[in-house]
Amino acid sequence: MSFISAGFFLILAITAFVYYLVPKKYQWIVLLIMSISFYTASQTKFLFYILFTGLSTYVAGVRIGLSVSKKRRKMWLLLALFSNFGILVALKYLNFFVENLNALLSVVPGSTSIHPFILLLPLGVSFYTFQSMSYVIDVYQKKYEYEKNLFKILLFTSFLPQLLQGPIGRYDRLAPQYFNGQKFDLKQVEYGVQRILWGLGKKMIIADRANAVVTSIFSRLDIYQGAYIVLGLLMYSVELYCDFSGGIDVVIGAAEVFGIKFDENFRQPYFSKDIGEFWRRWHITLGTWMKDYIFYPFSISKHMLTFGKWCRKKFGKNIGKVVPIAIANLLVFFVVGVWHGANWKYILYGIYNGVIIAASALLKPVYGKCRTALHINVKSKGWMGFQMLRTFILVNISWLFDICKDAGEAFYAFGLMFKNFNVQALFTGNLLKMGLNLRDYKVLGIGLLILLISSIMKERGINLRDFVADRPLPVRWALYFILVFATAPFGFVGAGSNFIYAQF
Amino acid sequence: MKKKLAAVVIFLIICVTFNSLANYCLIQPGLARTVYNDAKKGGYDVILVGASHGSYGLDPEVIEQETGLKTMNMCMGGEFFIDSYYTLCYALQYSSPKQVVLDIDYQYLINRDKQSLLFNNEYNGFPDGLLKLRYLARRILPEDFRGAFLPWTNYWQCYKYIPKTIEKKQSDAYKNYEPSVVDMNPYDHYYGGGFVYRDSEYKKDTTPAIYWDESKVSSSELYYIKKIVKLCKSQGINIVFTTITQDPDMISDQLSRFADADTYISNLANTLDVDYYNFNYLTQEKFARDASNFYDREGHMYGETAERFSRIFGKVLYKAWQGEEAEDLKADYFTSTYAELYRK
Repeated sequence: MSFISAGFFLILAITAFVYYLVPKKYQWIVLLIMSISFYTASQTKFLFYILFTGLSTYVAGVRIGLSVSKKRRKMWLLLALFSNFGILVALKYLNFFVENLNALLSVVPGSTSIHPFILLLPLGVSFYTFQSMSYVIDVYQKKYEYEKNLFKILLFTSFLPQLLQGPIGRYDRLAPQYFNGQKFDLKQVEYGVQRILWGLGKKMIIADRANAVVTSIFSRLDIYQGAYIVLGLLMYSVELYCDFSGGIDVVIGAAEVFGIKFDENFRQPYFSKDIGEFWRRWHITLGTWMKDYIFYPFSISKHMLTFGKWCRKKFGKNIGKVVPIAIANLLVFFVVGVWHGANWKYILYGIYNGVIIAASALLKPVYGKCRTALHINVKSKGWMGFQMLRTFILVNISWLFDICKDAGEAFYAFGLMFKNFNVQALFTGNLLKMGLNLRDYKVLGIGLLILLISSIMKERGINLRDFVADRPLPVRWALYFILVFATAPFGFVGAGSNFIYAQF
Repeated sequence: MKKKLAAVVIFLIICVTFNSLANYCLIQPGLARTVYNDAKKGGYDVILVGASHGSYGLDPEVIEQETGLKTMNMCMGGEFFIDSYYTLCYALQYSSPKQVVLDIDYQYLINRDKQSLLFNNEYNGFPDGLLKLRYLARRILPEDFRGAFLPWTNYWQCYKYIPKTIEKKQSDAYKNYEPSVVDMNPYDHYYGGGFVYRDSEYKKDTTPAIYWDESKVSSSELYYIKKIVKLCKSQGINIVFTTITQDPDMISDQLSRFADADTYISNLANTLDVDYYNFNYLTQEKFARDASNFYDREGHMYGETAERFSRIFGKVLYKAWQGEEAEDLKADYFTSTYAELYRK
C-alpha cells in the first residue's frame, strides 16, 4: 500500500479522527495501533523484523542506560548494532556477496557456484534500522535518557507515514511530539493537507509523466543516443526529485495532521553550488545521520587524529587538514552508496560523490588561484549560475548509476550522450511515442514551471504556505478545492503507484 | 473554533457533492453493468471468467450448442484474476454451475504493477452490496486513491458528453441494463451472455503482446488464481484452466517466451490439480487460422473466428466435462510442441 493508495488516506482519516477524540495521553497509542495494523496488513510476513528491531532497540537502550560499566554499555551497543545491521546486510546484501563470490569462483577450475538465496526485503527496512540505531547510539553517548516503555520505542520505530521512505528522525526531537499529546489545531491540519496535496501533485502530475520518458529512453539504449540520453537524464532528475520529495511531502503533511513535525529532507537541492552543498540539501536526514554517526566519530577517532598529525607534518598545514576529512568523506559516501542498494553501480555512485567532494576540498587552493587569475567575481550572479549549472551536470551524471541496470550500462549510456548529438532529432515526432501526448508535455511543462517558481520563492525566503495561509478562508479553501480536483484529472494515469525510494 | 469547524463541514459537503455530480455526469455506462445483470438471471451450468481474449473469443450460445450446458461468459477486458475471483463470487450467488473455466492470459500474471485505472470499468459496473464492499477493500483500497474516491478521473475528458450522459442515465434502457446505452466501438456488437462480436471490417491493430517474464509474476494474482480454485473445489464445481488461441504470427515471433509461459501455467495447474487446455496448441486441422483472423497482434479474435473457435472450445470442454482424460483430449486436438505448429 503506497502513499497514493485509497487505503492509506482512509487509514489516515480514521486515525486522525480517533486521535483527536481520545485524551492526549493516549494519542500515541492510536498512532501505534495504526502503524502496526498497517504493517501487519501489508507486510504480515515481515512483521517479525520490525518487531525485532523495536524490541532489540528497547532492550539495548535500557541495558545501556542502566549499566554503569563502560564495557557493558559498549557490549550492548555493539550487540544492537550488529544484530540490526546484520539483518539489514543479510537481507539486502547477502545475494550481492554470493554473486560476487560466484564470479570469483568461476575463474577457479572445478569450483562449484553457490545458489543465490530467496530473500525478500521488509518494507522500509533501511529507514527504520537507521532511525532505531540512532537512538541506541545517542543513549550510549548519553545525549538523552533511555526510554522505559517498549511500546513507545515501537512507535518510534514504526510510525506509519515515515516508515515507508523516511525522513530518518531522531528520538529526542520526535518523542516529545509523540508522547506529550497534541491539541486539535485546524491550522495545523490545514497545513498538513496542503502539504499532502502538494506532494501528490509533484508525484502524479510531474514525476509520473517524466517516468514515461525515462523508461522509454533507457529501456531502448539500442536505439536512443545523443540528445535523447540527455533528455532522459534530465527527465530522471525531474522524476527522482518530484517522486522522492513528493513522497516526503506526503509523509510530513500526514504527520502534520497529527501535530507532529518531522525534519525537512529537501531544500531546493538543484540550486546547490557544489556537491557538498547538494548533499546538505538532498535527502538531508540521511546526510545528517551519516555526518553524526559516521563522519564525526571516524574523523575524531584516535587513528584518524594520529593520521592527521602525520599528514600535517609530511604535507603541510593545508593538505594535512584536508586529507583526513577527504578520507572520512569517501567512507561516508561509500556507505551512502551501499545504503542505496546491493549493486556495484550504487557503490560507484557513492564513490563518485565522495571523490568529487574530496577532490574539490584538496584542490580548493588551486581553484582559488585560478579564479583570481581570471578575475572572477565570486559574488556575481553569473559565477553562481555557472556553479549551479556545473553541480547540476555532475549530479545528473551520477543519476546514470541509478537509472541504468548496472555500472557497465551506466558507462555505456554516458558514452552514448556524445554520440550523434543533435537536438533537432528530438523534434521528429519520437517524443510522442514515449507514452505521453502533446497535452501531457504541456501539463508537465506547466507543472515544472510552477515548481521552479515556488522553489525560487522558497530560496528567497518567501514561504508560500504562509502566504496561502494568510489569505481569507474562502480563497484558501477554494484553492484546496482546485488542488484536490486538479490532481485527479491532471495526474498521470498508468504509472503504477510505487515510489522510487519506497524500495529502500 | 465552532465557526471554523462549520466551515470544514461545509467544505467537505461541497467536495462530496461535486464529486458525486462529477461521477454521475462523467462516468460512462460500461458493458460490465450489463454482463453482471445477465449473470443475475442465474441458472448457468458453465461460467467463463477471464479477460478480453475471452470476451471477444467465446460465444456462450455456440458453446451451449456444443455442450448442451447453459453458459455465461463473464470475461471482461482488463479483468485481472482478483477481478475474476469477485466476478465469480457474484455469479455463484445466482447460479450453481457444474463447470467453471478460468481463461489465463499470461499478460495478466505479469502486468499488475503497471495497470491503469481501467479496473474502474469492472468495479464501477459491479452491483452494490456486501460483496462489492469486500471487492473495494481488497481491490480498490490498495490502489491509486483516484479509483476509489474520484472514479470520474478516468472519464474527465467526457465533459463534452455530459448532457448525453445524463440523458442516458435517466433512460429506461439504462435502468434495464440494456447494452444500447454503452458507447461501444462501432465495429463491436454485444451478442449477449458476455460475448462481444467484432466485425472483420475493423482494421487490424498493431498492439503486440507483453513479453513473458517469469520474474514479473505477481504473487497477488497467483493468490487469487488459487482462491478461485479453492472456491470451486469447496463448492464441488469442476474447474479447468484454458488459454484461448492467439495470433500465430505473434507466437512465431516470441516462440520461446510463449513456450515458457505455457510451462509456467502448466506447472501451476499441476500443482493445483486442475486440467489446463492451452488452445494455442490446437492443430490447424481442427482450427485453421492465420494472422488475419485476429484483430490485433496480441491475439483478440474477430467475431467470425470467435464463432468457429467457440465450437471447438465447446467440444473440448464438453469432452473434458464428460470425464475424458485430458491427455487423450490433447492428443486428439493439440500438437505436442509449439515448434511443430508455429515453425516459420
